[in-house]
Amino acid sequence: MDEALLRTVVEAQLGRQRSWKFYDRRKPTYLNLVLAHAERRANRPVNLVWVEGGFPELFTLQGGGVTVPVFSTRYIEMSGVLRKALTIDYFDAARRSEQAGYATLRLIGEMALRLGQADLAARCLALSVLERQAWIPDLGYNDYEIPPYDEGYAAHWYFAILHEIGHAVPSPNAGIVADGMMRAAVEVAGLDPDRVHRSLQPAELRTEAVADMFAASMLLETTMMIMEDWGGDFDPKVFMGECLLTAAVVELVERCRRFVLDPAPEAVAAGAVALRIREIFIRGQIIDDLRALVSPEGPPEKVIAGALIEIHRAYVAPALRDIEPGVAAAMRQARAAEPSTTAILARLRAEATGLNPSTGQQFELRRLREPLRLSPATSPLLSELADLAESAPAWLDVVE
Amino acid sequence: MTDERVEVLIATADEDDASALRAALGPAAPEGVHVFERKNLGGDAATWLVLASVLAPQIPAVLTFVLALVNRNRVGVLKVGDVEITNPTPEQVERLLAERAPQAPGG
Repeated sequence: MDEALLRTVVEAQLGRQRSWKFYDRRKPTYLNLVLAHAERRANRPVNLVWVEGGFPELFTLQGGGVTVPVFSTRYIEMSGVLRKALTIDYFDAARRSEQAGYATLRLIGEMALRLGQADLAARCLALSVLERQAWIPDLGYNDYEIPPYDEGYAAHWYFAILHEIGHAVPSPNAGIVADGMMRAAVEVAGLDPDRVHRSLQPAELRTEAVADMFAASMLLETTMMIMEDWGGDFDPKVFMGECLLTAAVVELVERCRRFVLDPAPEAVAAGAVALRIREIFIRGQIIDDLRALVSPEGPPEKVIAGALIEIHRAYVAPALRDIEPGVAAAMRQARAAEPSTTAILARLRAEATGLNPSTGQQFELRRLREPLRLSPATSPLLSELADLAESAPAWLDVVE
Repeated sequence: MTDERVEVLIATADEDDASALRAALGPAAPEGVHVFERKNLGGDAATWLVLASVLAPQIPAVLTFVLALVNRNRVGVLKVGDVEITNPTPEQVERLLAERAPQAPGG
């Protein structure tokens, strides 16, 4: 397909985010290894768009025989923050819940900026840095590029990209993703399949489940390739844990995006159910693939399934339980009537321009300059926040 | 008759609208109409992007068709040449239409 045409389509979607490029497929990187492998399996060319910074989102453009995943480094940064909040041995539960709450506000704020909801953005971004005691560095994406190149690294960087490429895989109404199975999954979740939100209708669910299953398969194969090249020992149990953790992160990011787009409880609930159903298909795919790839003569399906359930029960479920109070509180604050956003910004100004402003706060305020500059959204509240971001010391830029 | 082409891009959230646009733009776009689907990671918010290089004299006809969709609040982005409008209103499309309307001879 004509590259100029693709550029027009990409630019129309990215708006002011001018710092993007088609990823150089000649570079000897692990990302290219993953893309080439996925391309072969999907039997379709992939042109990855790499957005430097931007907003924490990932999407695919598909048409004219090509698949164009659009990948922002900001997605890696924010999903990295959430991965930390979900890592049980990182901090105690209260601290992780608190950090997840700040990350939720930041994600909602940046997505609101992206989607043109200026006042919601100003409120959430201000709350994400207001009266904060502990500052766990929100690392730049480069910090996530360092070794070890292991199961966690691969899941963090590649699962979402592989999911997007998976949209190029045909998804016929057959087998375990047939309409009947999709409807059954919705029923098991306690909903009437005839009266559900669009995201829970069979065709929609199937498309996503097929992309997830493709991503899980490709992730397993490419993680093993990368670890063999790098010299690590692949551990199937660690891989399972990282896949489940990644699915949880995707769910959290999407929950924030849905919160901005449609805060109606039924839409939010439908999205959460859809992601939980999708996770079941991911688990099924991991079980099949591990049996086939790691040990064809090895443990039976039941044993692998048992290990997956145990990993979820012991690590992922408690981690999600731990952070839920922080996430829920952040969402309540985001749309609460009181205090007003004007009052929140006044408190932030007093704090940020007071005698002893926190360096962590100044750093995060400074980092807001880019998304504020990129956003088409404007409002007096956002202008006030932009003014505070501009007044944070410029020397902090070099800290990144 | 001029051969000048103008790039037109329309984003809509509805697949049927995208199909209708493809059909409407087809006769005015000698190089064809390209339709892209955009899907987010959560899979719940597809957008269709319809892109074509349209013969300049055909732009008013195309805009008239687009106006019908805009009247029903079905267009997220409209780009005609260098002009790009997010969430276009009927008034904005009518203004574009007036700018592109054929001039009377000598007018």
